[in-house]
Amino acid sequence: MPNILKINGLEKTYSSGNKQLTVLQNISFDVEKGQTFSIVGPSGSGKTTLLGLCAGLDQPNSGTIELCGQDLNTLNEDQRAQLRNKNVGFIFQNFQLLPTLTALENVSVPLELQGSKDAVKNSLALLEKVGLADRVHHYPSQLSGGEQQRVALARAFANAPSILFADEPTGNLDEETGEKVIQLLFELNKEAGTTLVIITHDLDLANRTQQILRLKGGKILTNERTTVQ
Amino acid sequence: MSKNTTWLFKMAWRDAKASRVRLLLFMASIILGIAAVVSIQLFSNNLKDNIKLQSKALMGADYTIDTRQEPTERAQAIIDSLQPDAKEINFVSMVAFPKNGGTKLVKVRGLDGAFPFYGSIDTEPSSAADTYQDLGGALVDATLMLQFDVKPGDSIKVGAITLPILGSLKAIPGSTAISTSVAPPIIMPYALMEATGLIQFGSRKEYQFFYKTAETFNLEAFEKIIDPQLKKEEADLDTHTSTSERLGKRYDNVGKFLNLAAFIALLLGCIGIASSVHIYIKEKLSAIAVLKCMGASRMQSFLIFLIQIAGIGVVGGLIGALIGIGIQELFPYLLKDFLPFSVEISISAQPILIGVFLGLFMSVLFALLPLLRTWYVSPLEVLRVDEKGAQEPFKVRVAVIAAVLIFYSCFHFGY
Ligand SMILES: Nc1ncnc2c1ncn2[C@@H]1O[C@H](COP(=O)(O)OP(=O)(O)OP(=O)(O)O)[C@@H](O)[C@H]1O
Ligand SMILES: [Mg+2]
Repeated sequence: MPNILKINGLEKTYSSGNKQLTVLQNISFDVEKGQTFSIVGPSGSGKTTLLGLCAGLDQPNSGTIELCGQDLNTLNEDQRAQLRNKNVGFIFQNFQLLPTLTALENVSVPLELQGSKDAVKNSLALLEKVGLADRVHHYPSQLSGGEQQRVALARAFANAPSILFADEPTGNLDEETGEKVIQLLFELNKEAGTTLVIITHDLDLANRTQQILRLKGGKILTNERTTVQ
Repeated sequence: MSKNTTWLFKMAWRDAKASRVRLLLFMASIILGIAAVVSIQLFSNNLKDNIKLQSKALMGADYTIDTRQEPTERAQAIIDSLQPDAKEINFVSMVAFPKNGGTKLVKVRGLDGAFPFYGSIDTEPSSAADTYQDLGGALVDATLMLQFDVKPGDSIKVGAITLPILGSLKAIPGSTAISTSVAPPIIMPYALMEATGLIQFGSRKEYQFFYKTAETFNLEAFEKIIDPQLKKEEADLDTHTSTSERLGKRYDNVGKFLNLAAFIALLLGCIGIASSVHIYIKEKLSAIAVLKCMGASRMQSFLIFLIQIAGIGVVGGLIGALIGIGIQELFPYLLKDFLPFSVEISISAQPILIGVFLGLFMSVLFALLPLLRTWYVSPLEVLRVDEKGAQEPFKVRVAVIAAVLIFYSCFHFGY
């Protein structure tokens, strides 16, 4: 399998005042196309920072990121946005639905940005898949946390991404609801053959992915395959 | 419209629908500012028009030339070349009422031509003002007639001739209460003045020539050229604008007050616009980060909100203009004690266009700085809930503020 994400010698520092804080140091790893991949580590170890860099939301101080065959360092902000629109899906801990848009409109946005003619049709199909066919015209504030995250799932798959990033997708949900969302995520992922990169504290969840990257203090501790096929 | 543009409008509309409470606050600022400016501007224009109209009516002509003696040859040449539309000789003399033998010192005015061109000679019966020149009769000051108990149909002896009294004179443009109480006016045809035999010996004679000009005629420039030439010849040119300046003294204060009020209202409106958009955009920053994360460009994110602001500006401007038109109808009632005359209100489509344009212009101009933040929102903020939004660079901020101020002042002084 070719690698959809190639990270090489990544370093990220934040400067607050005259102090330099190194958050990520000498990070190199690859993610294969179609793989399920998890990043684990204690709080503050740099997981979210790493995800932001991988998705082109942020820029490293040094090192290279190749996403879907594109070197992110050579792209400007709008070009990276376009790359995300074509190839990347997101799921966030706090859902990040647009509060002024209905469930249907939220799911449609990535498709509309692509100029798709079938935005509404495809979005309705996806909402049906996540079991929200009767909630399509509801605003996020009218939905429960679990429902919101399911809308977010539908949105993440709307543009048929080749890679999906999830930052603690169950962090704001109770165990039962979280489990349902995760099941749905794996289901949709299998169906679409998407590469999945999950950040999680939950080692059980990590063990359901094919590869686990452990971070500590901004450095890679281990990067191992699991027994999952 | 391209697909992309259509989508921007669609997003702007969807988002605006759900954000209407905030946007109404913003619209209220625009409506306040535009309503104030439109109503004050309209009223101010009406006031100026009225003063112009009424200053003409006060003089009865656009300008006059007068001399204390018979005009010199040179002066007469100038007077004739300008083609007077009416002329007058007047002098102060004793007149007698044969009916009861009463005598009185009066100002005898011999008029020729359709003076006044603005306003009218107010007589009783009113037809007398139109007929006295043709019928060879006199108009006699109303108070004087009361005093001597004479009526229309009686006669008056002026020097060597006796004329029928056609009517009582209540008012004529150009004379004030004070001058008429010293020597009450009587008016008679210019053609009969010679026959009174008083012109040759009259102590003080005044010659007046009345002129009417086109609306577009530049009186001030004309006065600058002609008046010095006439002064050399002991003649004097007076324009209705110099009369209106006397009136204007009073108007000036009202006008200054109105301008200040408009300026303050507009300023408040603009501050309202800037601050309500600032709050509005601040609430949108996380949504903008999500949009960028999903693949929206900086320009798209900026335009969605610019479209909203511009749309509200147009609608607010329209509503503001309509309210402003409504309010200016009230001004004459509110200010009637301060103004020396009544103001007539006229309505046109122009203020609506001005309101819409001004609403659009002001809202976009003063929303620019807060709107600019949309450009600099980082998509990274989707991952950092509590991170305070990225600020635009200081240089950009200063540049935009400077541009806004320059635009605003150009506009304000040009207006
Ligand atoms: N904008 C920033 N400026 C300064 N330091 C930052 C900034 N963003 C993150 N950091 C620091 O970088 C380190 C890594 O943060 P990050 O959010 O990546 O950790 P994490 O592994 O995702 O933690 P958690 O599990 O709690 O989400 C933290 O110490 C954090 O304080
Ligand atoms: Mg994190």
